[in-house]
This record gives sequence, C-alpha cells and structure tokens, in this order.
Amino acid sequence: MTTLMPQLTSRWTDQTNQNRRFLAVVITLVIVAVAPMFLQQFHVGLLTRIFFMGLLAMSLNVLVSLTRVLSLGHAGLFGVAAYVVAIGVTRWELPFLTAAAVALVVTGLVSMLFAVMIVRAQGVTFVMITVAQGMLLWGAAERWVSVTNGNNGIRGVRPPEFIQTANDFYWAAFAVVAVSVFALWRLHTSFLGTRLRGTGDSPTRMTSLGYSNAWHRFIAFTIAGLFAGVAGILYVGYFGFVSPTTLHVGNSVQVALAVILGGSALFLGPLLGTAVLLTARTWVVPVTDRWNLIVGALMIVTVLFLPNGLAGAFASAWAKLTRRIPRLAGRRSPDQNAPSAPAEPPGSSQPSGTPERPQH
Amino acid sequence: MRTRRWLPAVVGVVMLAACAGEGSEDGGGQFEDDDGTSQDDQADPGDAGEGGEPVRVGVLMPFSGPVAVSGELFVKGWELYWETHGTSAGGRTVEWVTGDTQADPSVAVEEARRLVEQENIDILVGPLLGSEGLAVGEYTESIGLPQVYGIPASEEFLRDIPDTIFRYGITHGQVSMPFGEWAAEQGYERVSTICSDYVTGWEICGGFINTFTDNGGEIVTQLWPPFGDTADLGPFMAQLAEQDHDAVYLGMPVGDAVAFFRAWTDFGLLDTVPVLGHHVTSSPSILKAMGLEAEGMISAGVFTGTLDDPVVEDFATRFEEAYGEPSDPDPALAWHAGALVRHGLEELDGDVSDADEFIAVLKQAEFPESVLGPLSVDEHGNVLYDVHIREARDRGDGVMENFVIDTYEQSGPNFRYDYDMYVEQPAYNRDYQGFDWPENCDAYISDCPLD
Repeated sequence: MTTLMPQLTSRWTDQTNQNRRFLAVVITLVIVAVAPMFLQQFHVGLLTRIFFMGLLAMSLNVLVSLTRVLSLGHAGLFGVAAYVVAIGVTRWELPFLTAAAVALVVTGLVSMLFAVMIVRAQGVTFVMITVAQGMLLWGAAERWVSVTNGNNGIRGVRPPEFIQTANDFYWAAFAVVAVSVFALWRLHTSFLGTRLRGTGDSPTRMTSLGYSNAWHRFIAFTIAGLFAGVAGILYVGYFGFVSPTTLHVGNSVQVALAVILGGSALFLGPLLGTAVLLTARTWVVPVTDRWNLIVGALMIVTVLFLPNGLAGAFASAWAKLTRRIPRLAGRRSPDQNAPSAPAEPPGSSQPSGTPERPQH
Repeated sequence: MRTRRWLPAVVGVVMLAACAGEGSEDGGGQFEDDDGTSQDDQADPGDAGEGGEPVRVGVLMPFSGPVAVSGELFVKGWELYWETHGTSAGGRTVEWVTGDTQADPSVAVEEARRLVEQENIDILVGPLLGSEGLAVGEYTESIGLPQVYGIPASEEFLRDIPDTIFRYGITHGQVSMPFGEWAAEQGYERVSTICSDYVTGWEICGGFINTFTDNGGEIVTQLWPPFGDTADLGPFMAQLAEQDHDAVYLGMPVGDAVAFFRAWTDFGLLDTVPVLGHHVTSSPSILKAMGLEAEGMISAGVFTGTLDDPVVEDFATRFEEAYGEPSDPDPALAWHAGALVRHGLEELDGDVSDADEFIAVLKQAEFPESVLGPLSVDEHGNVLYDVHIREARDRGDGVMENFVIDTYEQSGPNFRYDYDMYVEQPAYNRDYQGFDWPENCDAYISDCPLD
C-alpha cells in the first residue's frame, strides 16, 4: 500500500488528472443518487445497507490501513451508538437527531476510554484486547436488562419526521455516508493521516522524529470509533431496532472480513468488500444454507491470491489494460509502481522509509 | 496512478450492477414501499380478490446457527400438515417459501423483507427466537402483513405486541408456573435451580420460582450458567453437589440441557435428587441425546406425542412414519400454524388483504381439538393450553417419550394471577424472579395458597 500512495498524490498535483478524477467522483455520486428511481425497493434497501455497513468497514480501515492494527471489537462501538439512539428515542423520547448527537458523544467517549486501554498494546495483544472490549459491550447489552432490554433488544426507533419512505432514508444515508467518506478521505490525505501511517509503518522512526505513537493510536482509534458510531446511527434508523447480536464479536469479524476482502490498502476497498459480501449473501442464502462456508472459501482465495483485496485486483487489472492499450488511458503506467504490489502485512513494524506522503 | 481515479466509479458501478442482478435479495428496514418508485411486481399482500391466485406463505425460521434443529423440525411439521390436508384452503391454493434468519434479528428482518418483496408472500409464519420475533414484528406491522407466530415464548409479548401478529404459542411462565405449584404440592420443599443466563432461562426459572415460593417452597440456590457455553459445567455441578435440596430445577434449553445432563451423570449425581425440567429440556429429540439415564425426568409442557387424544395420536403416528423419529413440540406447533392459516383463509374466503382482520379471526378461533390439545383464547388474545406434567419413560423400544402424569387444564400466561397485575410486574429477569410477589391474595383469581 505504501507503494500506491505517492503516485496517488502525485496525481493530485496533476491538474488535468485532478479534474478527471473530480468528474469521475461526481458522475459516480450522481449515478448513486438517482439510483433509487430506477431500482426495485429491495435493491434500494440493499444499497442502503451497503452504505452504512461500508462506512463501518471504512472506519475500521482507519485502524487497519493507517495505524496497522486490527480491532475485532469494532461492532461494539457501532452498537453503542445504535443503543444510545434506541434508548434516547424510545425511553427519553428525544427527537432522533438529538439522540443521534448524544450517541456520537457517548460513542466518542467510549472509544477514547477503550483507546486509552490499548494504545500501548501491539499485534495479537491489541487484537485480543479489542475482542474483550467488544465482548464487554455485548455482555452489557445482553445482561443489563433494565437499560438494554436484554436479549429482546429495543424496537420502535423511528427516524426523523422528514424521512418517510425507504427512498428518503436511502438519500439521507447516502448524504451522511458521502460526507463521512469525504472526511475520511481528507484524513487519509492529511498530514495527520501521514503521521498515523507513520505510526503504523515505522513506529521507531516516528519516535525518533519526536512523535508519540500512543497519542496517534489514540486519535486513530477515536476517529474510527466515531465513524463506526455514525454507521450505527444509520443502522438503528434503518432497522428500527437493535439487539445484542448487533454488537456481537461475530459482527466485528464480518466487518474485518469486508475490509480484507475489499482490500485495506485502497481507500474505497472496504466499501467494495462490504458491497460484495452483502450482495453475494443475498444471492447465496436463498439457495443454500452453507453461506459461512462460501465466505470462508472467499476469504482464503482473497488472502492467497489477492493480497490487495478485490479493489486491488480491479486496480491492477485496469493498470494492465492501460499498459496494453496505452491510448485508452493516454499514457503508460509505470510498471514498477503497479498497484498489484502486495501490501505489507498489517502490524508490520519494519521500517519502510519515512512517511511517504508529501506534507501539505 | 490512473486506476485510482476510476476506483470510485468502479465501486459505484459494481454496487449498482450487483444490486440490479436477478434473484438478489433486498434489504430489510422499516419503511413502507415507496409507491412512486417501485416499478416491479412488488409484494401485494392484498391481491386476494383475484380468485384462484395462490396464497403465498413465508416460513421464516433459523436453518443455520445454534437453533437450526428447531427450524428444520418446524418445516417438517409444516410440510406434513399440507401434505396431509391438501394445499387448498378458502378457495385458494397455499404455497410457501422459506427464509433463513440465521438466529440473527437483523438477518431475520432482511429475510422477511425479501420474502415480502421478492417472493410476494401474503402471510408470514415465524420466526423462532424472541428477539427475532420482536424485530420482524416491527416490520410486518409497518407494512400490514399478517404474522402467525408460534414458538417465541418471551413474556415481553404479553406487554407489547403489534396488532398484525397472532402469537399462538405459550410463554415460558405459562408452563413453568403450573409446574412450580405442582412441585410444591408434591412435597418438594427445597429446590435448587439451574437456568441459562439469558432471557429464556430467566423466564423459565422465574415462572417456577414465582409459584413454588407462593406455595411454601424454598429456593436453596440459583445457578446461572451462560447460554451456549457448555464446555465446563463442572463448577456448577460441584455447587449443586454441596446443596441440601430435594430436587434440581433445570431450565437450560436444548443442547445445554444435554450438556447439563452429561455433567450431572459424570459427577455421580444421577441418583441423588430428581431433576425437574421444562419442555425445552425434555423433548424426545433431547431425551434421545441424553440417553436412557434421563428416564424418570419430570417436566412440564403442552405437547407430547403420547397424549391420549386422537388428533395428537394421529399427528404423532404420521410424523413418525414420515420422518422416523418421535414427534417433537416444534413440528406440532408448525402443524398448528398450518391449521391456523387454513382456518383464517376459510373464514375470510381466501381474502388475506386485511392483516388486522385476518389476525382478528385467528384471535377468536377456538380449537377444541388440535394437535396441541384443546385451545381457547382469553380476552387478551392469549391462547390457553392444557399444561401437562410429564415423566420421561422408555416407551418399550428404547425410544424415550414423555408420559402425562398430571394436567392443568386451560392455563393461561397469567396462570392463577390477575392478568393486569401480572403484566404490571416486569418480565422475569435475573433480578426479578417473583420471590416476593405477590404479597397477598389480591393478585390471585383462584386457589390462593398464601392464606
């Protein structure tokens, strides 16, 4: 992944390409925005779910791609936001948006608390602590019956008044997710993002440069938690209920799978991974009850043959195509920088040079 | 590089293409169809007027995950019902499609949505777990789809249930409350309980304790092993072995009950005190896994294939002929779901367009003869069952079944308590097990033991 980034930013400096890129983004946004008018209702629902579950995966990817740590308790933070909204709306009778704001604050605080617990942990220890944190939240949802209604969960969470139909919710979710994705993009390309990446790629060098790795992990974890919270708010608005299953570790694993499948090295990879997983599930489940087996096989194939995930494979296929037909793309892709270069394993702390992003 | 620029477009297009694909499923959610945009043959739960159109029923059950066995047994009973009685009802043919909840409430909602929008179902039967049921109920209510809902037994449903749901099953307390009274009357004075630490376990234990303590019984200790974690029940067995009690009350569902019984046997506790159970700890499929040592286990439940009732006998025989295993409560509940759907269709001449009307018809339906015994309905829409106290015995060919030794006729979810006062109490949970409630006979409507 580190090999990809410099080209990406050099692209940004190229005005023509920047314009083209901008155009591509705008076209995509317009297509997605008008999509509900041409799709059946259940496809609109599926896309909506892809939006917020994709945002959840992208928020996890802040940890995976930048600071190089994997959390398996991420659905817990997602669930905290969903629960706070559910409790706020049904018990305190707050308006949905107020409850959502409260949920974000609470999720942020919980994320910070959890971050403090783990910023100094490494590798497997880090993962195991996040699992424990996720289990803690799940346990609270399951056992703290007076607040969470236990196993039965909380239902009857109505979204704000101005959202009446599934399409309204689609557009609302789309807007929220688009803004969130843009914010995450700014994070990835910012100086802060560079420092976070430095923490992941070369913590010793960061230390020698005078940066605190623990502080940067804290920031990354909190940001990841906040965006998971945004996804959780959309989740509860969409389904109208939340139960302990929402924040179960199994759900966290699904999110991590989406990140790996889509490719953590590419910014939109986790979104793609989520889209593929959710869509494939809707095809496969009516046909067979061996869905988990298929996911397992998919993951093995991805890990063995697509080190950059599906998004990396797409990018690499596109690069090959443009190499073969130079005119199609206007110019030749430099071979040595092909995006198929395998990403370093997450958690790798080998020095791989200074943070490679130009610091603007 | 160049490729990066196109990535957003690629992602977008793939998402759209993926969604537009044929046979894909939908997405769940709590919204009504947007008429302005739905352009395909959306689910139309109200096309009954067009005579001859089949009625489509969605059977939503977990077919994967920890309770998959129950889902499979349910479908066996469902299919057997329609094979036996024919698929024509109220002038229409009944068809069905299944959906897999994976024991996850949000998956359950997605599947319900798929069944409605892709499979065009008119009636939903299921799902299984309480949390799934509440979530799906939210959705079916929002679109006005009748939901016939049997197995979920959470006490929560007494307090809050949408009008579009007919809950024809029992609550756990409905079965364990008569059992608590029965146990006290049999002379058990000191009982320890071991129930799974989640809503089902809380409610099984709570019902038993509520009436057992009203009748002078004493709970020696309460143990709460986590649900589904059966690897090491040793510490619990050690605690039970230390107690001075007359019996142990077991409220650990299905696989956990089997694990309990193995540990119970391994610790040499088999011949110390009797184990009293619940229907979720003692159906024939569970007894088979426990082995012949489970002989003599006394439990409470509403269905047993050995009941001296021609309708039940007929079902039990057919089920065993069809599947080569003794009949369980799950397929019996499914069979009755079939009978309910048929009843509703026949009463309304096949018109299921109005969910409230369909459910209202079901709520008034009395079944003097059903596969679940005689059923009547109270003024709150709860079904009253004959609750049987049964003993597990080898029926002669090495197969264990439950044989009735006592019966509480037409018992409701409030048992002998005043309905309103009963539901004013919280649903049983770890903190509220009914020890001190009620304080006096005001809450009793018959046979108060407190004086």
